Amino acid sequence: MRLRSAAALLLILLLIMAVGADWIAPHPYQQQNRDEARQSPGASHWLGSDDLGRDLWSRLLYGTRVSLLLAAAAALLATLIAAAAGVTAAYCGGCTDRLLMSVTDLFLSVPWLFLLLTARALLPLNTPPWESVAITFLLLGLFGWAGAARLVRAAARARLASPFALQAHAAGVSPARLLAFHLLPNLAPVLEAQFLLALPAFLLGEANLGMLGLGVSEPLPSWGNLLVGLTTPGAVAESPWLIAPSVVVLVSLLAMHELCGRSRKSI
Amino acid sequence: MNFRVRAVLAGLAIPFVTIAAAVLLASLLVWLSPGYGIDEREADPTISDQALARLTANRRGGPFTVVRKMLHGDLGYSMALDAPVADLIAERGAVTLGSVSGGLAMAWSGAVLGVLLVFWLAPCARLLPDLLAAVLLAVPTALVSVAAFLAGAPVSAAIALALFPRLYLFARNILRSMENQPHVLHARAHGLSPRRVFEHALVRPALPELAALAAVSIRMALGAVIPAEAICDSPGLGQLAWKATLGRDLALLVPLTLLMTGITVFANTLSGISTGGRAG
Repeated sequence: MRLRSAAALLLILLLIMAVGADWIAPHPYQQQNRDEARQSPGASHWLGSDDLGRDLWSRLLYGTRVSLLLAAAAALLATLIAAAAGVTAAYCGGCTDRLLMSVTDLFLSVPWLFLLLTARALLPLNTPPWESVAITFLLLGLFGWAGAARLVRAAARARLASPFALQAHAAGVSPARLLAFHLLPNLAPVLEAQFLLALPAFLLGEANLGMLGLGVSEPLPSWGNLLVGLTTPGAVAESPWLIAPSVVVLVSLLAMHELCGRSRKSI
Repeated sequence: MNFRVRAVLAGLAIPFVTIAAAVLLASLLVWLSPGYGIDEREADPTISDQALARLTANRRGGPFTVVRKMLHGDLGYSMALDAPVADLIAERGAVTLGSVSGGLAMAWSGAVLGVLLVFWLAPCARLLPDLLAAVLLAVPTALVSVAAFLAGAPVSAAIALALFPRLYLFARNILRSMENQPHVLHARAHGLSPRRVFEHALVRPALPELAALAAVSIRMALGAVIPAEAICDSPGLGQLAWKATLGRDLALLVPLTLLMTGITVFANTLSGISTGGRAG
């Protein structure tokens, strides 16, 4: 319980820092100062600076905002698609169910990262920063729903066969009312669990894409492109403070796993 | 028709239908990709009208022509790497096979060791593998690969580090779900040694689920191949996919994705067979 509270506190703190980056960050995230390139942590740069002399602390704050808020948006999108597909398949049954589940199987059969790369290759690589953010998280959301859809379908089928749903049917409740007032509120814990599962997975997905140079474009920071600095040979040995963003990513994801895992168990 | 026969036929048909749908989608993507079917000879002013008509007709086949070519073993030509796709896949497939099999072997060894530690050798030391798995699960595969690369470890070590937490946690949960089963409690109450309880009451009944996990781990390893090979500069299929994306070479990327889909469907089918359709 103490660990869970600490994890929740850490995530709330991180969220406040991310949302309030405009007020907390001492420098603009894109401001370059070539005279202060690769500076060690100090009074002017709390976490040091990168190759272009940009303040790492400021970039970390803005990067956290981009990654956390948009991963949540992508997780919401994936959960909504999963809910729509799962509930439709469970409610309609027959050919619709088979068709939707075949599409789900197709999405599940293609390795996620390969699918993301294929879709990314179809789109221009040199997109403006904010477009690249939208593309990255939209792709994560659009391709990350399939596993959840199967679970939602199973849960929806179980609830549709339960006495309250049968009674509602027998009482002549319209399908729309049955879905909106009887089925969806009962599916809320399942959808919440799927959302919580998708959130860290999308954060990791964005970090992987960013490190491969296929995520959010510079100069906009994200957890993924903040970690790119580590891939330069000798960079960590010369400037050990460059690992600061990876520590933040690690601690945040650990807290998220702790919180999400406990929430799933309680659900 | 017998219900069981119908179930087996349906089980066999689903992977084929999935692959067929994937082939069709892949062909559509290749056909729509920028530059597909364009021959530089068409710009040659000395070429005759007849030859030009033949060249143009060659690219008017649509996605089904791409399917036909793929079925005849012609996977196309990579513009980014200036080589036939089939040759590139054959060359680099061996590298990936080596790193994936090495990674799987290492990850499974680690997971088995962790499970042995937790359930048999030293249950009080369960925090150690749990903590390691939790930390590794919170690190992006690309970052694990950077660490492996900086430490001079092979690509297979990066894949193993990415796979270990998932395999260990799944295997641990499977065995934990068995722990409170009546037959295990009965075996313990009869005073069977921890080794016998572990071997006969825990692992043996869980073998179908563990076999399914082994099959699914192939799919997990394929997911880790791209960041691991791209970061560690290993000339395998993962690095090829990454280069194809950077070069927007769909003619190369789509057959690669298709190959991975085929392997995943095969692994999923194996997983389904091992659990008798209960999972996978």
